[in-house]
Amino acid sequence: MNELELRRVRKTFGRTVAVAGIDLAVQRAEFVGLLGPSGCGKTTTLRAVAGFERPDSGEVMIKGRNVTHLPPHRRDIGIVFQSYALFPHMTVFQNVAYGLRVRGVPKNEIARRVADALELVHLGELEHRYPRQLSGGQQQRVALARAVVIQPTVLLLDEPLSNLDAKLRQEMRSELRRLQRRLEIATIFVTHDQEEALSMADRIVVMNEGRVEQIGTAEEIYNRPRTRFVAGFIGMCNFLPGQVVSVAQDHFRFRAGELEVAVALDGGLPAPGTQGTLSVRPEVIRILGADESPPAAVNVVDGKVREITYLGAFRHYRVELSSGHELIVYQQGSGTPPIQEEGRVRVAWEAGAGSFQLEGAAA
Amino acid sequence: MREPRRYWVPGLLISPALLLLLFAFAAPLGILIVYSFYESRPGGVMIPAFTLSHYLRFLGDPFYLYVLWRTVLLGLWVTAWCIVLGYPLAYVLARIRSGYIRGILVTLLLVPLMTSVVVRSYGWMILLANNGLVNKALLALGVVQSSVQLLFNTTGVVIALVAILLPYMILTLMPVIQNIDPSLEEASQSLGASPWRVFRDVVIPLSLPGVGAGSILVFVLTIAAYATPRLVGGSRLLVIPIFVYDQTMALLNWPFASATSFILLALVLGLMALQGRLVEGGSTWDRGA
Repeated sequence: MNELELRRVRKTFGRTVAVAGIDLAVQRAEFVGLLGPSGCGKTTTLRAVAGFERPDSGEVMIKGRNVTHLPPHRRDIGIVFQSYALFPHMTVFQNVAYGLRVRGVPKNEIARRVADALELVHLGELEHRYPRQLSGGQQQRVALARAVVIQPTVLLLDEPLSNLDAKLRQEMRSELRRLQRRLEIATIFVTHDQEEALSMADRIVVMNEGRVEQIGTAEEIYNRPRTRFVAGFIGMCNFLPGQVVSVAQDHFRFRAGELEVAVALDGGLPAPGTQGTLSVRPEVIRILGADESPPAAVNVVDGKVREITYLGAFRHYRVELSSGHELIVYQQGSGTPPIQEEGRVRVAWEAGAGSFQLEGAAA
Repeated sequence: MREPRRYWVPGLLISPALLLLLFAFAAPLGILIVYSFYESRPGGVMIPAFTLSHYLRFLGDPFYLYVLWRTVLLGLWVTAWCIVLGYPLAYVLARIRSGYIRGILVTLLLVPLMTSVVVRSYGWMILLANNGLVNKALLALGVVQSSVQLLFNTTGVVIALVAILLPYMILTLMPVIQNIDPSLEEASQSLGASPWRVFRDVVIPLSLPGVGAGSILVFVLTIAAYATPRLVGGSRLLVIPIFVYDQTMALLNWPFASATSFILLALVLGLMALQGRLVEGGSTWDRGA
């Protein structure tokens, strides 16, 4: 049974459609990231799960129970807010104990469970401090302890790391992940930070304009983006709009202006004449050496280097193809570059390295 | 090179207000305190002296102390009603999402303050009289069987004062409640608290400083009120301001009136200190590391 299930959940504010009917199921111990630009409906979705927003239609199920019309305090959820929302008039201990006190848990059990929760987030010695006396990272841990101490079925994290500085954020990412694995709580976290989503989530839900663009593992989302929006939102991507010219057994030929290349796909191949976009990640493209002969099943295109940007670990090349298209190519930054700016090059990528998005697929 | 700081600039900026306070407030107060130690003779004659007799006379007389107690009691009643009636209103106003609608409602709240206190008090006298609108309505609705005495007693004065002082309470409370992060209430809810529990555990404790500030304001304004108790309270409700007025204007005993004023002032300052202590004691969390 799913710990959490959303069925066609839809929410509008006035004329603005915040969430346009989304479906999502989260299993026990699963860590799901809602990723998207601001205003994509991810926060509204989270708030609908929490009960702070009532959906116009659709259902929210927690452990098979329909909670769509239940108020937040009867839903069995834990939330970590972006601002942490620690009670300023309560000590760390009182903050973490609050959910247990409300539930009428006996005093000695509260003491034990709060101590365990604070131990879990390494804050045992700070229980008598007030939130104001804590650093941002410590406040975040208290908020986390407060949310998990009640052993909720579903844990919701609203941009949990966005208020921390870069270094602390890295640390908290892995710590949060470890904690979630250990507690095996079904968890949803909202983020606009793709790196955060890629590094933490078991599954990522990419949202845009109130709709789900794609649900999948980090690798699926990155390597096989289903829509142009997903390809563009996560990582850098070269887009070549055009159409399918001919279809062979395991690949098809694709024409974008003067450029014609081979595309191999895992799934079904599109029919000839299909309009769409070929998306190629900059790091799957190689710059060939002067007399290097490429293997078969590789697309080789001539071009001219317009710009080289050195970034330490990588060099970014802006290559203008003879067809007029411009490609961004990432290569290792070590060693001397095989080519100078304004030099002529051949760039190559495997037929199976790109991804193909149909025209008209939600973008 | 850094420009030397010009310390006289802030001084210059606050000097008009400072001068006004000095001459219109501090100086008269100083004169009054000197008078309160003078000897008085019948017929409004004051003889410069240093005597504590007026203070001792007031504090040693059960009647005067009773008047003082009545005044404080009136202040407590009005303050209590202002909290009870004002808090829910302040909460609702603070939680209205549209700033435009809130602006309109706050303006409406201020309308009663735009009428003169005398006119307003006469208005209340008409409404609260034995055959006034309030009694007629109560009779017509069957709430009471015969008309209730609402005028020329404490009830009437409390009603009239609460009506005028309520905006002070609401306007002091509203921004304090507005400043409570709504996600604190959501956090409380998500941890299992019912709406009432959220209110009790989060909203009330965090708005206590506002309640304290509003209470001081309302209490001080009540025990200093003269026109409303005189008109609505009639001759039977004696409070300190009326007492001081009579001593000053009718009996011309300025030293005794001055001493009485200072006893009231001392009491108010004492209560404020106590209240400050209570609010501060309840909010160690507010003082930071």
